Amino acid sequence: MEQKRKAAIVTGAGQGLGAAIAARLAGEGFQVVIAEYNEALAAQVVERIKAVGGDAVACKTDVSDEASVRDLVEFTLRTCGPVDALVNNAGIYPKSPVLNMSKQEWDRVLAVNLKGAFLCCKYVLPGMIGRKSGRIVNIASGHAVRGGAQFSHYSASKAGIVALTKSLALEVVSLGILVNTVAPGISDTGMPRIHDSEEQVRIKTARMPMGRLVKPEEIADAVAYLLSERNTVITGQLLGVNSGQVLFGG
Amino acid sequence: MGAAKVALIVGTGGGLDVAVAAALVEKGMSVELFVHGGRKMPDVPVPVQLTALDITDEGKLAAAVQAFTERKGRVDCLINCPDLRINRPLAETTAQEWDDSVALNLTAVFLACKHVVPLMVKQGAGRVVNVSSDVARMGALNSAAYAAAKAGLITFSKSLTREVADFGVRVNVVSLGMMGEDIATFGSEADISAIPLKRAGKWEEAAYLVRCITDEKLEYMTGQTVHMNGGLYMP
Repeated sequence: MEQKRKAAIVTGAGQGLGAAIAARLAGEGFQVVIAEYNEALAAQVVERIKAVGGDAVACKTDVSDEASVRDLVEFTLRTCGPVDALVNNAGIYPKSPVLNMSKQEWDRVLAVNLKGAFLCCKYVLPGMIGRKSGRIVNIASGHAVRGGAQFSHYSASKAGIVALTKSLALEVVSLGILVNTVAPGISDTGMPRIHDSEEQVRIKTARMPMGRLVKPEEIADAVAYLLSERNTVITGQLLGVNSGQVLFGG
Repeated sequence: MGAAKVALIVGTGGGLDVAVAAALVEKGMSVELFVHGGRKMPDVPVPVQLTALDITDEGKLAAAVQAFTERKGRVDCLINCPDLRINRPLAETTAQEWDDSVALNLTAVFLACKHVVPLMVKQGAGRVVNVSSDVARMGALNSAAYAAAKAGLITFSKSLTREVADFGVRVNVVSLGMMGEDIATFGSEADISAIPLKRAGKWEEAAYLVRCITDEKLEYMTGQTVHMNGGLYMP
């Protein structure tokens, strides 16, 4: 009898790092739910995964909306079975100085980047707690500890992610659930290009310790390890995957 | 003799607000306290103007800051110490409780800085002290909403530090361990043994540290997080 695939939810998996993580987990044998607001992008990711023999399905999700997250988890249970792994990757990255930032922008960033992770954890946890098994990875950023100028909301949201990971990890460690944060360095995706020109990206690339940007696949590798059964004791940690760009840990 | 320095404290009416007010008045400052509405107004034993308002409402906060500016003409110190902590496992935390924690512990501080710091920038000088909690760094059972918001506050402060460094404004964080009634409310007797000084901190002790950090001689100190926790957490 074929062993049932484990189910993983990856939020914000329509492009960039999220898509790379989804592809990697599918390659590891997970049935992956692409939780993504942009249906067209989500469909493309599903196609690419299936084209190489993987198993994926899309679910339109707004992680900042509680009802949408509840629906996501219920959809996953119906379609794939119990949720074994969750990757909170969805995030937005606008830029404004504190003294000139609208509350609307501030609230939106906190809602998507931080509350979204809280809601997804909240709704997958009961199943994981019931089965005394589960793995969660939350995606942060070097900004979480550096606090970038004009990114106070983004930085605050990522710092919140790191702290949420620590507190949650303590709560569920005795229940066989491991929770960690991965902080990517500047990766070769659309993200660095949101605010920087190609010339600025080239300059930042040259300054990276290895003289190159991090590949999304390299970050996906770290995430996959932390979600795997090979990870038996690592929990509550912040792992930088960044070629030394930011050195965490005091 | 120079004019008294002016301090604005934005809080939730707890022990720290009162202690900081007293400490700043003791140093000769003219102090006002904005207290988040709906809470019991604190009994402040020193001359401090109190304003009750919803500090999470940008319109109301901006209006209160405007009125404060008209009364005082300047602001030398802004102390942000709103605090809301509930004791609930993450899976049982409601979305409303999450929102309340972020709104009071983090967003209110963003709003206060957004509306008060421009006056400091105009003056070319100012001290901002934001009060966080060591729970942000250590994590704590049943405190994910609090830990996340307080951690966000620390890093928000770093971003703000960078944005206002050129204008003579210094931003620092005081991160507190178990204070006042925390052990009774959120911890246990076992927690006391983990603290080298074997007790919770007193609000007056934290207030003294906050006051120290506002000192104009500490011009080179910005973007820092200073901890006070009886040795419980040593970063």
